[in-house]
Parts: sequence; C-alpha cells; structure tokens
Amino acid sequence: MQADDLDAFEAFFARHRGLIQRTAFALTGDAQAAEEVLQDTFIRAYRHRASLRTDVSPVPWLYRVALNLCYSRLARRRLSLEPISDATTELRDQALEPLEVVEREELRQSIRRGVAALPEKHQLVIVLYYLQGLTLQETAETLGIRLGTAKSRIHYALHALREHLSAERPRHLVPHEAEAARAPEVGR
Amino acid sequence: MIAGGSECARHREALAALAERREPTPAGDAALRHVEGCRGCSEALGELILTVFALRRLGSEAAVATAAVAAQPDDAWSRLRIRIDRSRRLAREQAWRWRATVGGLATASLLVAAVVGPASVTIRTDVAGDGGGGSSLALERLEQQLELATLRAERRTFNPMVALDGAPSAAVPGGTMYPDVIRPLWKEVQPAERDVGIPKPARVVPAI
Repeated sequence: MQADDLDAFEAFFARHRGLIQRTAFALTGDAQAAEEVLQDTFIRAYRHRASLRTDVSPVPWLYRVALNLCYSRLARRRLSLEPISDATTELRDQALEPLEVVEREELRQSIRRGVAALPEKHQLVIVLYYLQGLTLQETAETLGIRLGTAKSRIHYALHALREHLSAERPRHLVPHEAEAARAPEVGR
Repeated sequence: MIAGGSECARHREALAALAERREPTPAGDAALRHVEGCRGCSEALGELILTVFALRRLGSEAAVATAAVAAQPDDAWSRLRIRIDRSRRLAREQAWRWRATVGGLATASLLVAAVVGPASVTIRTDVAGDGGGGSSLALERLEQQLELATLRAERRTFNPMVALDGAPSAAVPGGTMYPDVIRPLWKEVQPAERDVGIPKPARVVPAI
C-alpha cells in the first residue's frame, strides 16, 4: 500500500470501511454525512500512506481521523439540530408514540454531545466499546493499551457522560425511557 | 450521589459494572444493597444505566443502518478511486510545476552565464595576471622595467651634472633627487640665482 498499490489500498478500504462508516453514522446520525466521513477518512489515509506505520494497527489512526471529521462536520453543519436521517427513521419502532420518538431523539443527541465533549482518548474507548460493541480486551488491543487502562478510561468516560446527561436531564429524561433502560436490571 | 460519602465512593466501580450488566459479583451484590438505602446512588445508578442503554442503542442503530447500506451495491470504492486519481494527478502536476520552475531558473542562469560569462572571464584573467593574457602582460612589464633600467644606466653615464665621485649632492647644489633615482639632465635654476642683480658694466678706461 505504501508503494502506491491501488489494489492493496482497495483491500485496506474494504477491510476497515465498515468500522469507520458505523462510527460515523453513530456519531452524526446521518447516512450521507457518514458516507462523506468515510470518503474523507480514506482519502487522508491514502495521502498519508507513506507515513502510516506497518508494525501497528491502522485502526486507531483511522478512528481518530474519523472522529475529528465527524465533530468538525457536526460543528459546521449543526447536525444536532437537524432531523435524523431517513435510514434511522425507518429503524424506529412504528408503535412508538410521537412524544417517545422525540424523547429518544433528544437522548440520542444528548449522548452525541456528551461523547463530543469527552477527551479524545475517552471518545475512542466509548466508540469502540459501546458503539462498535467490541469487548474490553478487543478495545485494549485495538488501541494498543493495557486492559486495565481501557477499563479505567471507560469508567471515567461513562461517569462523565452520566454527568452530562444529568445536567441535561430536564430536557430528555422521562419516566418511560428510564424504565425501559431499567427493565432488564429489575429482572436480575 | 456516587461521589458523596466514602461508602458511596467504595461502590462506584461496582455500580458501573451493574450499569453495564456484567457478571454478578459479591461487590455488585453489596453495591445493590447499598443502593437500596442510598437515594443519591440509586439515582446515579439509574443515570448510568440510561447512559449505557443510550450508547448501546446508538451503536446498534448504526450497525443496522450501515448493514442495510452495505447490503446495497454501492460505489464507495469507485468514488474514492476517482478522488485518489484526482489527488495523484494534482500531485504530479505540482511536482512538474516545481520542476518547471527550477528548470526555468536554471535555463535563465545558463543564458545569463553564456552572455556575460566570457567578458567577465577575460577581465578576471587580465586583472589576476594568470592565463595567456596575464603572461603577456607580465612580459610587457618586465620589458618596461628593463628599458627603464637601461635608461637609468645611460643617464648615469652621460650626465654632466654627476660628479666624478658619484656624489650627486656635491654636483648639484640643492639638486633634487626624484623618487626613481633619476637625476635631471639639466641644472635646475633656483629663483634666488636670478635675482643676483644686473651685472655692472665693465669700467671703461679712457684711452690716454
């Protein structure tokens, strides 16, 4: 890939595009924006291919670029104020009341704002562990950090997010949303 | 609140584990018992659960949406390929622009050197005294010095003003020695000698 081999770069793109697109979609909530972030991330990877290290995974580098692009795009386009895309709208439970749909969307946006306010190293663990669904071990390996460090970062990030949600709670926390979240816990 | 007393702080880690629904542990059971009697920790646990729930839902929605997109035939690589080709073309153009600039400067320098160079080289060799022109000039100077020395010798031989003992000051009273040690061929007359006065006419002795 470093020798400007386009076939190798295409394989690189095919291997990592899913992770980046999913992260971008989770953070922007917009399929079009996620696609643009995907393209921009990989065009940057192509331009910096000569400086990419081959002895470590390129995934953390790709994530950092994608996160920066997502947040700069959000800041520029104020996506947090825009309605969610059609793709996500289709995913919504049709049985939900309009009020619940609005509340869910507010919670979504609040979480996105909270993640955006985190330091970069905490953003990365949150994205990998919660949004990508990796295990703690996989998250640590992907970022090249120890398992204990990954746990610690997740712990601090989670509490920072909780405080962020708590500060915005009057705007989005409603009984049925909290009950839905608590339901499996009650069963334990 | 979680950060309240020391008892609350002790259960903080366990509460986070409860919120993430990890495997139940003794610490988790103790934390649950604490939560039952602590209103602050109970609220904090509720917020943590809600945060984790919202994060996981965000991730699962994104996974479903991108899976739906990935299932459709897309042209993501084709569009990226177009941008890569454009990037490569721009890089090539920039490289050639740089080379053209340097080449232009080099050509201009060569032209200037071709026009001005020969004149400056000639002047330099003349001044420096080396090379073909320099050697002829040195020879010319040598000839001049030889000629001058010969002239001096001739003057020394035929100069009537020079005393026989070779002491120029004695032969030429108040005579001037020039820097090149050439004695003047004629006697320099001092202004004082002109004002000696009109010689008196010889007295005429009348004839007897």
